[in-house]
Parts: sequence; C-alpha cells; structure tokens
Amino acid sequence: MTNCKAFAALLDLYVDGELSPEEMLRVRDHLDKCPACRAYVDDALAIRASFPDAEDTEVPAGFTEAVMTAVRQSGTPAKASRRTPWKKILLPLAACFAVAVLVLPLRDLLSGSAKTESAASLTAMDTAVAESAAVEEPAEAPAAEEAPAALEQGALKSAGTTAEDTAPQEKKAVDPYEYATGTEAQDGGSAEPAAGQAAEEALAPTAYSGSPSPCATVTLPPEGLQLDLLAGRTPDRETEGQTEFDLTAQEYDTLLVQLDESGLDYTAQETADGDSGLVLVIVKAAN
Amino acid sequence: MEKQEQQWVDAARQGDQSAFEQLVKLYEKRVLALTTRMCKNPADAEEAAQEAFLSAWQGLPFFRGDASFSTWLYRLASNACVDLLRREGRRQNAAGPSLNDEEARVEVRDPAPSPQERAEQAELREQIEAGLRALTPDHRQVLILREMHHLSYDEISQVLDVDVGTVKSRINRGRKQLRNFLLGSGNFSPSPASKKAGRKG
Repeated sequence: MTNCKAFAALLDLYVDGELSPEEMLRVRDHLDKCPACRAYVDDALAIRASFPDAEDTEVPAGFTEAVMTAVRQSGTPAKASRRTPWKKILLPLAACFAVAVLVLPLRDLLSGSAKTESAASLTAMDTAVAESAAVEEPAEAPAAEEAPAALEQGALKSAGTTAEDTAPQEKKAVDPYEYATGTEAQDGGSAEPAAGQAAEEALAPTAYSGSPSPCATVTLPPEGLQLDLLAGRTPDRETEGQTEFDLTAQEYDTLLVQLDESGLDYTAQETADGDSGLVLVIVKAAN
Repeated sequence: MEKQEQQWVDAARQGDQSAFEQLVKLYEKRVLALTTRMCKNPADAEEAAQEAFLSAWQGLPFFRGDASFSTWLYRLASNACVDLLRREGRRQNAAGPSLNDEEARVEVRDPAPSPQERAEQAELREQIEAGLRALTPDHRQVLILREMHHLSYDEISQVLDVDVGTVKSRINRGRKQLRNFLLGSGNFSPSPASKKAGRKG
C-alpha cells in the first residue's frame, strides 16, 4: 500500500503484458497486499473481457465491392484517396479535364538547345502514362501510381519548377508510412494525377498518343512558345507546321491565365464528349 | 492463416487484385471497428475505411514489411480518420460529446447467447462504448488498438507514429478515464472490497 505510487505506473504495463517477468512478479506481489491496485487491475481486466469485439463490427452492404471498385479505378492514388468518395470520382473527372494543343513553330523547336534532353524525359513520361493505361493488367496497376507523378513532375519541370521542388513530393506520395503527410502534399496539388487516371480509363490498353478526343483544344500563334507554361517544355508531338502539347486540366487553367495576361490571340474549344481527360494545345507555326 | 495472409500480401504487391480482395475481406471488420469509433459518423467511417484500403493497395508496392501488414493497415486507417476529422473540423476536444449521446451509438451485436451473463456483459459493453465516446480521440484510439486489435505498445507506437512512452501515457490516462466513467455509471463498484469475481475475463 505504501508503494502504491511507484506501482501505479506499472499497473497498465502489467495488465498489458509489457513488463519483464521479474517486474511482473514484483507487481503481482504488490497486488496481493494492495486492494486499491488490485481493484484497478481487476477493472482493467473486466474492461478487456467486455470490450467490443472487432469481429462483431457490421460491414456495410457492398463495402468490399466498393473498395474493389475504387481499387480497379485507382491508377492515380492522389485522386482516388481523396475526400471525394469513390462514388463521385468519375463525374467530376469528366468535367474537370481538357486537352489543349499548342502549335509551335518548328524552327523554334529545332533551335531549342534543350531539345534532346527534353525529348528523353518526354519518352519516360509517355512510358509512365502507357503503364498507367494498362489498367487491365493486374501486375501494372500498383506501379501505375508513379505514372501521374511522372506526368506531374514532367509538367512542372517544363513549367519552370525545379526538380528539387518536385522530388520530395514524389517521395511522400510513394511512402506508405508517410500517408498523412503525403495526402496533405497531394491536397495542395492538383488535378494532374486525376488527369492520368482519366487518360488511363479512356486510353487503355494503348498508350496515350493524342488520338483520343481531347476535352479541349487550344490553338496558339507561335508567340505561345514564350508563355511561361510552354517555354522550354518538350512538345508531345511534332508535325509539319505545328507542335502539340498535352496538358492536364490544371495546366490548362494556368495556360488560360497566362494567355489572358499575355494578350495573345488564341482559340480554345472545349469538347463536350472529349474522353481523354487531357487538353490538347496546338501551337501553329508562323506563316 | 498468417502464411496465407503473407501470400495474399505478396500477390497483391504484384498487382493481384483478387488477392487484395481477400485481404480486404480479412480486415474489413477490424478496420471498420476502428474507423467507426474514431469517426463516429457511419458514412465517414466507411469512407475512411475505404481510403485506408485504397491507400494500402496503392502503397503495397512500397510496403517493406518492416511492420506487419495489419499494423500498417491500421496506421492507414488511423491516418484516414485523422485526415477526415481534421478536414471537417470535427475533431473532438476533451469534453467530447455528451456521455449519453445516443446519436453516436455504435451498433454492436451481442455474440454470446447466454441469459443473465449475456445481459450483464451487453450492458457493460454498451457502457464501455459510451465511455470510449467520452474519451479524446487519442485516448480512445490507443484503447481500441490495445483492447480490440490486441496490439502491443510497440505496434501501437508504429500505428500512431508516436513513441512508446506516449503510448504508455495515453493508455494509462485513457484506461483511467474509462474506468472512472464506468465507476460513475455504476458498472464498477468504487470499493475494492466489493469486486465481483464474475467480471473478470
């Protein structure tokens, strides 16, 4: 009884089996002499005996199916794991994303010193998107998490964001133990991952090549290349007389802001039945 | 079962959705048991549980196996609850809801079909549920992980990403508060001498 305070700190550890055998014996000896401590231990054990059983938990009807539906749709972790319930993912996606096409002067592209390097990173990006598009292949599905990250990273880098800015975010996104932090990072992020998801759904099993219907098409004069978003960015496709970029919805929004600020003459046509989740940007060559 | 579970984890890590579905079925009750008591609102609890599983699926390729799959999954569930609470500003303070809050009632089926004993245990269980709801989320969570999921202090520290000392402290305070609640509701006798042996598990 006199040692109660000293033992009080050990009672929970005793109940929970977190003490060494020697300490367990010491506590047990004390319990024999101390009704108050014994009462606490008895009550703790009584609580345990009647504690709700996890196995009694009722699983809502359709829960498993709902999870698996979300899993199958989840090539893009950020979007799928957001506050938005799985049931509501697809609808906003359709409304949120568009594809913009910029047509860039071929000569400007050829004169770009970073062309080769940028093209290499573009190839990697396309590969990542292709992986995410292979949604029907189970082995590819979890790996697809990186696809939107790659897409996002490539886009941000092209827009002038440094690699240092994007690297930590990507790390958080792929470390399950940093889930909470990672989602916070994703909160501030954007729609790019969802764009990847939309692309994945619309384009599987083939890699995105610009052929599916974009959600929007933006046509720009050659000066469009000077916009912050496009300056230094590697085009996704090059044809004679025009160059094309695939943008995510967020990039599209950014582009429109930059276009308004620049005063450039452009056309933006949004397609009601666009199914790619991306915005096609065409920069026309100068006459 | 552990071996089977490990096989499912390995297969799911390789992208096997059917293996992951088995894991969902294996753990859905336990995950929902946690989220139901952390979120209170059944819709939020379901959503948090879904997010936990989805995060698990997406994170599996990077799951290193340092902790058990269950510990890791509970962590995702805990994070999903915290995330929901934080985003919706519903995190409870120490005062929490009314102790007689019937809206927060958690449906728990009584598994043991035995007469008086069953009634007594059901009553105590109901009071424990009520007592849990009166605790702060931190204290409630450690008790759930300890008593319902049978995690060790070390595992709880991994789930909650806090040190073991914090786990000890929270369990101690949470248990004391829960006990005081039960004493106050008449389920436990305040007198050590009048303990009923039948209450022991």
